[in-house]
Amino acid sequence: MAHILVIDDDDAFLNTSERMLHALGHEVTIASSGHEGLLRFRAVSPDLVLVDAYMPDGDGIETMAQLEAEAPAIPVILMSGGGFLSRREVLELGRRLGAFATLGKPFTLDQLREALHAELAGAGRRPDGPVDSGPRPTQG
Amino acid sequence: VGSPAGGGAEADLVEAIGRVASRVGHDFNNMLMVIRSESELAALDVPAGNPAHEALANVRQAVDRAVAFTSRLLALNTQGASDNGVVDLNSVVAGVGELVPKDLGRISVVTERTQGTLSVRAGPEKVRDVLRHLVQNACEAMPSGGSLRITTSTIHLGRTRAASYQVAPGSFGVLTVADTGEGMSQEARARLFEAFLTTKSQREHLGLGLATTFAVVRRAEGAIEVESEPARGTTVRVYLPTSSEPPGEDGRAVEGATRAESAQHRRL
Repeated sequence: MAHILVIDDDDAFLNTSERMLHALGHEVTIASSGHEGLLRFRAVSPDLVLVDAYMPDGDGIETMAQLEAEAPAIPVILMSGGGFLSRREVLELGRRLGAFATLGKPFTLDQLREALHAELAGAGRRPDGPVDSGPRPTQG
Repeated sequence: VGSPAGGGAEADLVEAIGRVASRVGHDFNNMLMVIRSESELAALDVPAGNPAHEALANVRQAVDRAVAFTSRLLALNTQGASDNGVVDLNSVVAGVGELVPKDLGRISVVTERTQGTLSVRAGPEKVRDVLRHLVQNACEAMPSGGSLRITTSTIHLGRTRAASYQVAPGSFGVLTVADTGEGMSQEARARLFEAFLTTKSQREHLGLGLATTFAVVRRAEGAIEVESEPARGTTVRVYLPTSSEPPGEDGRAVEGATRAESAQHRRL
């Protein structure tokens, strides 16, 4: 079991991801903004962070960069459901900035399990080739 | 009567639709994520053999279709690597057999290509998408059968004509898809983009094909011309800037993601 912090501005998504992570046997802390996510991160010291790329209050890329600065060894998985940049572009940007892995929304329980397994197994070291799960975009 | 499309106010409208689509697509992915994941989680709690399993599987199947649709929505406003490249229009037309519906009924297909290669600056997969959409629209306009004619040609657009198409003057490869179907009145022609939003609501592709086509062509700095008369059919000409560079590896050097998307399009 690991402690996972999920940062996303969509409450319904947060609720569902919490249930998914519980189903996979993990402890969960949720935050609905980048700012809140950083506060929770400092408070609970999670084993892994799932962060959404698009959020109004300090977007996911920015949040990820701050997490990276504070705790470079903590695995961060960047999620994106697409937006004004293509989902692929966002996820690639995230990888360049230090995301350990990326997940394209909507992802399945199996895809989440695999991504977590890969990252938690290698926690503390940055993989050479980040895992990329979830549906590939359209340019989206 | 032919008239350029995809320029001026129509281009603005396509861009506006793209921006809305982008926002809607993003929000939809979050909602779809909830629907799919909750049905997955619910299935874990349902005893084996319970009919609810089938119901939940149906929900997930519907979500998969919605995910494919959302991907196409997002594609309207995003420019990615698959927009770039050089493709041989002639080889795209030569491969039209892979793009047309399997059961064409009483529709005959004729293709006519220029000699050699006709390199244009556009993403190979995108150009195939454009041809797929145009062929699909043409076939739907001929429910009782007819003739579908797909041709390639080249044209030089001088300053005046290029300005009317809102493109830079120069040499263009032209992809023409002509049908002998229902055609459109001038009023319908003027409302092509409204059709994207309001007609075909019972169909799976929801008229996205045309909007996608306009978006792709505009991003390639090309233009579209639509000529249509009721009961006489519709001719759509897509102008794409020619390139002096040779096309990529059979124009098929695309990334895995694009191939996956293409497979979704075929299903739709």
